[in-house]
Amino acid sequence: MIQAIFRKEFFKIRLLTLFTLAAHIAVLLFIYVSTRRLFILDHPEVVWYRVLHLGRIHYGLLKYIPLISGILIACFQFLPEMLGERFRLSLHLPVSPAFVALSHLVVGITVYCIMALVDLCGLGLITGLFFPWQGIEISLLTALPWTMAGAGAYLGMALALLEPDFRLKAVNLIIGAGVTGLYLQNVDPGAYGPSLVLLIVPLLLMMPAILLPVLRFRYRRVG
Amino acid sequence: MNRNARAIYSILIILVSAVYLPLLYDKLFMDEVEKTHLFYSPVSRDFILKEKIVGKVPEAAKGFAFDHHSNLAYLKADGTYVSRKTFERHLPFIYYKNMEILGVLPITLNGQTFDKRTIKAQRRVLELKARELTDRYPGVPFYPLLESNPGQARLVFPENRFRMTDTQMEFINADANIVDRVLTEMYTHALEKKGFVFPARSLNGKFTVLKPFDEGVFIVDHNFHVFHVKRVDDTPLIVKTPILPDWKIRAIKVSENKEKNYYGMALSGDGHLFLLGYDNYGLIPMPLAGYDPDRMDAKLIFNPLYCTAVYSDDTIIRAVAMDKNFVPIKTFVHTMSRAGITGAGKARNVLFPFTLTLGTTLSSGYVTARIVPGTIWSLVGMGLCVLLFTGGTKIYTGQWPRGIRIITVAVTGVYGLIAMIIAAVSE
Repeated sequence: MIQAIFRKEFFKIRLLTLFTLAAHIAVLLFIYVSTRRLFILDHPEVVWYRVLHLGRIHYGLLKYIPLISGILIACFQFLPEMLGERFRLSLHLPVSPAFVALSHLVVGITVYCIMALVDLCGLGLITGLFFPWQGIEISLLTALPWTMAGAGAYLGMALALLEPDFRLKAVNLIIGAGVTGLYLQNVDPGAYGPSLVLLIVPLLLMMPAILLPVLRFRYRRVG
Repeated sequence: MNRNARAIYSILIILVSAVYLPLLYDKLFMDEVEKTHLFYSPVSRDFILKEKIVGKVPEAAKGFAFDHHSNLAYLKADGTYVSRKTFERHLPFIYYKNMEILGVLPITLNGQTFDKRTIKAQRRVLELKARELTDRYPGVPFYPLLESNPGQARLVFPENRFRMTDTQMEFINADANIVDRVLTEMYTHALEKKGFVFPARSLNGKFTVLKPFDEGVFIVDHNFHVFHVKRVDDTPLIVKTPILPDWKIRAIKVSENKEKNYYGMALSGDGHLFLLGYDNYGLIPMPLAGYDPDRMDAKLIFNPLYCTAVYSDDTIIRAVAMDKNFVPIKTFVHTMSRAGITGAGKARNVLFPFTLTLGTTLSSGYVTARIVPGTIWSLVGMGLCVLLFTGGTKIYTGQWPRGIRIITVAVTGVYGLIAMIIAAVSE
């Protein structure tokens, strides 16, 4: 059964996901070009000073890309399911609704994690070309909470889309925005370092919380 | 499963509410007040301060607010309000440019006359903030070692930076982004020859070219010996300072100054603050009673007559005025206006049982998550929430709420109340 759900999700989101992935790669290429340009315009030691000492972020474009991707993946996955209430069909399969919902989330989160990994690896590679290990470390520590924001955006959007009641949809959007905002504060590069482990907790709480709208959707009275 | 999902959903609502509701309340009703500015006046030989008044502005303060908002107050240590111009006239060494325009310079104080040039040459401020201490801010431990004898007017960054590894002082060439083995071996060998024991505990310097000259860096080794490392004519000049390892020097705030009296400030392991002198690296203790470097910012303000040490935590500011030999003349303790509780602050205490904060603090540049408990007044708010919840549930459903829900509201107050209302809508 799980294979069937995975296959269904794969066929449903593969094209749009590929476009999103292509957008991520395009952004990374742009970051490479602009980082390279920094070193063309100035002496490397001056660029190192600005980036490593003054904390100037040359990859700021990456801050909101995971966030947008998280929202988009949730939309690719759950908008078609909610239009015409197609998701009801999946929820009537001979397995528990929770299993069906979590399987969908696993697919979405896996796809999102692949994109986040592409972002982080790309950023690490670009930084490694121009900066020493400390530069790679600080840039990844800076970008990691941004990718966590994307996961929060995905789960928040799923929470809102799967909710049948419009009042609670609004509440769920606020919860999603609130959790996402935790990872997007304007602070010095690497400032999130000691809190990253703790900040996984809100994301972990969101996964089972999504079961509530799913079960409400499955067992509500219609008509 | 449904019950578990609902419980987790409620926890999520409580979590998000506890972070954002107090934040929203603060944005709407609370005033952000910076720390009080405290000085020792060489004119009145007493302390004088500038601060933003929280809450109702006294009539006496309004009377002196000629050219600024009335909630900005200038007052003497005895609590007398003064005008901005009087305040500046009390501090001629700080506002010397305005004094020159007013025609007050040269000024005679304590039988000595000071012109603009003398004042400018002898003014100096050294500052050590709690969040600047090692491991308190997310800096990259990767530094430039400037050429101290650049052979030209201005300093320039070298084409390499260094880091202290467990075994060596490692230089990386910025042009090629590779380890410079020659420099690494040269400096590591020179350090070891002087008795340096790796790994280093702290590395201290002023890493900018916007300074009059370069004094290199001070490195504290594993055994708490302090080494002064400079690059002179592209070769290492290393001095093992006579600073006793017993002080367990924790940080040195270097600040190059043309007077060349002090390299900067040094902080010992037991929290004592010193001036680090040029004369054989002598440590001059600063008499700062109650100074806690982990919570407080400290500032030394030098002028041609006095040195004033000002140190403060979030609520209390203290100052010691000293003569040129650092003998205390006068001390002052003041509870800053930012510590005062306004009506909005009292309402906040009632409304929120606790606050979840995520962010940097005055004493740390890292983002940390903290639970800030409410006050005794929060119990009132929590009780009111329980009453509202039980009464409301009885009115709308005809039944009393379940015990676990009442406990949730009792413990989490308004956050729990919101979560329970949303839970009721979702049922």
